[in-house]
Amino acid sequence: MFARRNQVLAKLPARVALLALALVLPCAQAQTACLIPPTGISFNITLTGTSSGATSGVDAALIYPDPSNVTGYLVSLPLSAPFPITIPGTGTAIEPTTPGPGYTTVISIAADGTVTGTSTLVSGSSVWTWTVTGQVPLVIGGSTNNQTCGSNSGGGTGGGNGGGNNNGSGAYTVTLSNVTDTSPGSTLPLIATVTDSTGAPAPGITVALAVSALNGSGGHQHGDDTDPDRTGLLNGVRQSVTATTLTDANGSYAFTYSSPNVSGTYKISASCVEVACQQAGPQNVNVKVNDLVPMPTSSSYVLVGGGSAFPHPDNHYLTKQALLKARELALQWRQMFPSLPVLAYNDASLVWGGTFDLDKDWIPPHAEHAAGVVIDVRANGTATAIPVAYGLPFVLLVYSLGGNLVIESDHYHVRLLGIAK
Amino acid sequence: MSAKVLLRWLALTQITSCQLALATQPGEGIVTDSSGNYVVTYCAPSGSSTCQLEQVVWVPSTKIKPSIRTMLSNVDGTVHYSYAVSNDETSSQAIALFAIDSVSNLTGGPSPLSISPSISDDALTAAVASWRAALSAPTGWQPLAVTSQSGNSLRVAWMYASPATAGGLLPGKTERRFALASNDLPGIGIAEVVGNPGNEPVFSDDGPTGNIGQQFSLLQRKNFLGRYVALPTISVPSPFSRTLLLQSIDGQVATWVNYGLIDGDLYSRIHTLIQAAIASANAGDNGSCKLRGDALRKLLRSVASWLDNQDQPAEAEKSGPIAPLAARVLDFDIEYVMSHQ
Repeated sequence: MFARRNQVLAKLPARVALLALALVLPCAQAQTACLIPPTGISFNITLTGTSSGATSGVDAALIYPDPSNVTGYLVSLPLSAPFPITIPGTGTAIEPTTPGPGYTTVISIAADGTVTGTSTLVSGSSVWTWTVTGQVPLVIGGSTNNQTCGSNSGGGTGGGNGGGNNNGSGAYTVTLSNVTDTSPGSTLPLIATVTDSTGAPAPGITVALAVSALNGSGGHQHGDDTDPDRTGLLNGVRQSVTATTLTDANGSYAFTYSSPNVSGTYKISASCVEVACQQAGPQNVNVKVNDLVPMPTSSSYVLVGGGSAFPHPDNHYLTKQALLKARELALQWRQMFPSLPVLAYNDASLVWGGTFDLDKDWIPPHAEHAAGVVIDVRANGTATAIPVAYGLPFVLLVYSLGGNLVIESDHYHVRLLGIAK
Repeated sequence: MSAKVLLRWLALTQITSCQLALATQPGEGIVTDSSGNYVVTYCAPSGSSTCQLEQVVWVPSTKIKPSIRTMLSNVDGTVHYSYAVSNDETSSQAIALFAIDSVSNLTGGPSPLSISPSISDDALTAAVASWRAALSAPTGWQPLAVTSQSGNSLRVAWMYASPATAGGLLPGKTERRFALASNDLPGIGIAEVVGNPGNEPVFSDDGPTGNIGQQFSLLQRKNFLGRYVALPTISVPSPFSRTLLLQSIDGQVATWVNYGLIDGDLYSRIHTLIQAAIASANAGDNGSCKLRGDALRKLLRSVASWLDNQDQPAEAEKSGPIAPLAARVLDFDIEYVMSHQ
């Protein structure tokens, strides 16, 4: 029996499976496009069969009609593989196979990707019979609506994919949902959804993602916007990731964006691995502390620091409540000590808060200047600073208003509401 | 134990307990020394992933033994509040700040509810000035009033405003000229009394961060001793309504039970009398209403016989069913309501 089997195998190219299942890809009349075999994605097909006169399983290869389009889709099974056979995963090579005499193969793929078919091989006294069931991911080409799908009407390989040039480019769309503003240092759950040209979900697609920072966003004018501390991370690990699972039946892949402590606008790019797809919809996530307002100019205080020459040009943003406290603090100081300079307010928070990276490296110092409730008051011995001798009254005034502070070498670090966050 | 540090928390009225706190970085910690000061060891940013430990000695402003007595007077419908602040001779620090929060309003000033964050500079300046006009302070002290963080009341403070680092109300001294005027009736609140610690330490960057930073921040927020005082909390409705005012007073007295200022049984009796007075007022029977008020004041005297005497017990002493301060405030409020024409 082994000899007979080997004779059969000898008719086929070396290392080629005994069975070449020529898939018939019908034009999906109910659809508006033709089916195109995808490339590089995983699938599962079950071969269920019987053998007569054969004493073992067979090698099998499942080959899409047009080998030139199905690289990676060869699935070969070991000689000893028993029935039923589940063909998993992705092969690594294609070996075009021309069925030899004795083959009868009718396999089809429905518009929804359902695979059905039978195949028989009669060779001498041995008969192998298979039924094929399963589900394959399909690409639906968008540019050949209602075309007849080539010559894929019968058995045999190499029938073409019928889609002609329907390589899917531009026909697929990936859209991110739940793209909303979020706070620094938070985790934002996002969903990438792949749809076909009809808007139907596209399951079985691998999504690739990447995050990048919009230069200068968040009030940081000091470059190096590629640092992970700047951009945040996808799925908590990297700036770019490839999904480890395929899109589900809804065409969706769920992932997370871990926002950085640095505020700004972050672009999340999504693409498809097996097929070309275009990203649509919102993709920019604003990482920000909400409701910060700029400090207005006032006769009760002066704003110092910042300006276009600085890496953080706008350094005077506070919450509304903290701003009111800063104004009251300055007013009280001016009323108590009218002969002294008005308070000189230096760094508060950036336009959207977040890490105020004084050293332009996306990390503290200046850690407490993130939430719009802290401000530095100059005490550096210059003419605009609080005189050294008036340190105690200033400290008491801050306490009087319900705040507190720490004294640094050249300024008072004032927590206007008594807290840093 | 080496990985842990002893952190003494400041409670409302005194340093009451010790708790253990884990440091977030090796070597960080807050410990008290033999003087009651806090030795803060913290990780200062050093421009790299490693930190540089720095240490400061932080002197709490609680090395004082204050007592406060509130005096109340009704002058043509305006309530004058004055506070006699004493610093016990055994105190280690002078008192440098005395603040009361949740003041409903001051005479002549705008309602704090009208102060929005977007208020103009001119309007805010005018509001601050008008509130300040209702305050008075001893020489060397500055009174001030600002919006409270809740946004619906005022925070009033008197601070020692001299550049001298050792100044303030010295140990063994009493100062009686802290005063305010309000059209609102007194309730009871907490005054924050702060000692003068002298020179404050200098920190690197923003000071301690992380867990140690949070603990240190908590110490700073609790860096005062609290004392009960009378302060304006009950707004007098306009037009005058005896019913609404009595309801507010009843609500205020109810809070005293949890403060430990009045026993529950006595409050129940007072509540019953106030409700009866409210019913009479609602019925337009002012005569009956005043009789209820008289009965209530008589009840107060039955448990606080000293109410009409000059020599009154210290406000902190609650030897009977009601604290002296609470008895005086309630008596004042009821008299105000019943005497209003």
